[in-house]
Amino acid sequence: MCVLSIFSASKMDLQSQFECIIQQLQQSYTPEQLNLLRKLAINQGVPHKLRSLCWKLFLQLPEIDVDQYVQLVHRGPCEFADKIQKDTHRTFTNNLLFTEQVNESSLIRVLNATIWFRECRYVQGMNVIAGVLLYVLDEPEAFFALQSVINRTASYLKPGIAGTSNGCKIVDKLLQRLDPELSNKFKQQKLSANLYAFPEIMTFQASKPPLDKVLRYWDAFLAGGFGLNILVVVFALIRNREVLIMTENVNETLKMEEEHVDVEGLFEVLKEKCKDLTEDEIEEIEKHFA
Amino acid sequence: MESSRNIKVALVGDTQVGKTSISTRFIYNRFDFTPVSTTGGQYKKKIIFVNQNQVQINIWDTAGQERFRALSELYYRSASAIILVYDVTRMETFLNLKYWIGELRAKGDKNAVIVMVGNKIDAAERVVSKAQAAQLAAEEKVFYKEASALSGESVCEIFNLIVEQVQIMQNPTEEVVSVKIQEQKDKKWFACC
Repeated sequence: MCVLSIFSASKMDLQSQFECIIQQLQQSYTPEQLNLLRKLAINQGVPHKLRSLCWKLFLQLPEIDVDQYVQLVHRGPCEFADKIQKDTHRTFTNNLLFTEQVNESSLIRVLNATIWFRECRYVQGMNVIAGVLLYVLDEPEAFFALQSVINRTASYLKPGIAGTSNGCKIVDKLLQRLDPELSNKFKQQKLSANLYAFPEIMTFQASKPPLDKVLRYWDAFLAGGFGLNILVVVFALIRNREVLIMTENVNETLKMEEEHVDVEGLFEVLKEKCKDLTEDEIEEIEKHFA
Repeated sequence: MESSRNIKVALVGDTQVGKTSISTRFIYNRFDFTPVSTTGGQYKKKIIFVNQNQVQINIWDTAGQERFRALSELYYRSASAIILVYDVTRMETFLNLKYWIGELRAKGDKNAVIVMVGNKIDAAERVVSKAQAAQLAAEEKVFYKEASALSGESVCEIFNLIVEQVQIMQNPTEEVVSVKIQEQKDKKWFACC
């Protein structure tokens, strides 16, 4: 009982911290206040009640032009409609929370509207990003949020896999510099990030259930940039280095440990270790999305 | 190539032919009715016993969608065996096998055991006949099986064949132990062990 009350008290605190900053932002917007909110979101995660509001603030979505979205939807299926439907019908469908909240039709509408709007090709991966956004935001909001995310991570959503592969290469490189011993172990087992981390890099952790962990990662990514995902991958390995160095089969261990990642602990480490990165490394991470 | 105590198997083929379902059926003996499309590749393993020796089967399940083709190569390049899956109810997935075999021959291990598998034989609307498939397998000199990940029919046979053939490939002079991975019966809900 006592433990529970402490727990809920600290949760209340976090929520009121968020509410307080949001209130100030709504009264008079200052970049400093927004940065404060971003920091809090990266370090603590956003309480689910405030998630929709915070994500929109982080993405700096201007007023949502619902009419524009409705017009795009009225254009109906785009030329990739078949491909889209093949994917939507397998997007988070094994997750009850998701299927209860998000209707497949809205996912189909958001994706078709995106293709009309951007006059681009549909690529697999857009479905996952749209799915996470739809879980938190209303449909028209999710549409505009998706455009913002695509703009921020453009190289990952071009045809082919060059963008994501570059992300994997950066993971290999960072691991080599920050933890040569662990990196050698991976090399001995012929494991490059392309092999063991491709899905989590491409989908920004959305390929790894449970959904509440995915949302926690996205609080940080939307607040601090999707480049943080590269660091999440690298530092999750380093954090688990003792186990990975001892194990006979790294791949198997990675698979087993996958569900037990302590996300809060990981962000604690990240906060500290980010300081070890060089300017060039940060720049490389930023640039690989272009 | 790994030793026959440790066999690396890659699952390749077009999207939605049931690659993940085949590996799920083999490893966990179950079927997911709400599958999620595979991004990149997924690793799974199963330990089986052949003549009282432990054999670890490492399965790399790859994404079939076109976008990931360049990536699939990474997974099958060093595989001792490749399961090339098509859907017997979708002709285009059968017609694409020639493309896949070309890729496997060009980029895979030349000694890799290739098994062509027609999945979804439980379905009523079959369009690819057994004769057609057997003919292609003979022309391309690959092994051929049909299976159903949904009912579990013949899934173990695919892996029996692989373990046998990898043994032959790696120890051509030794006598080959016939492999029988037991079809597992579904566990009853009240079973406790």
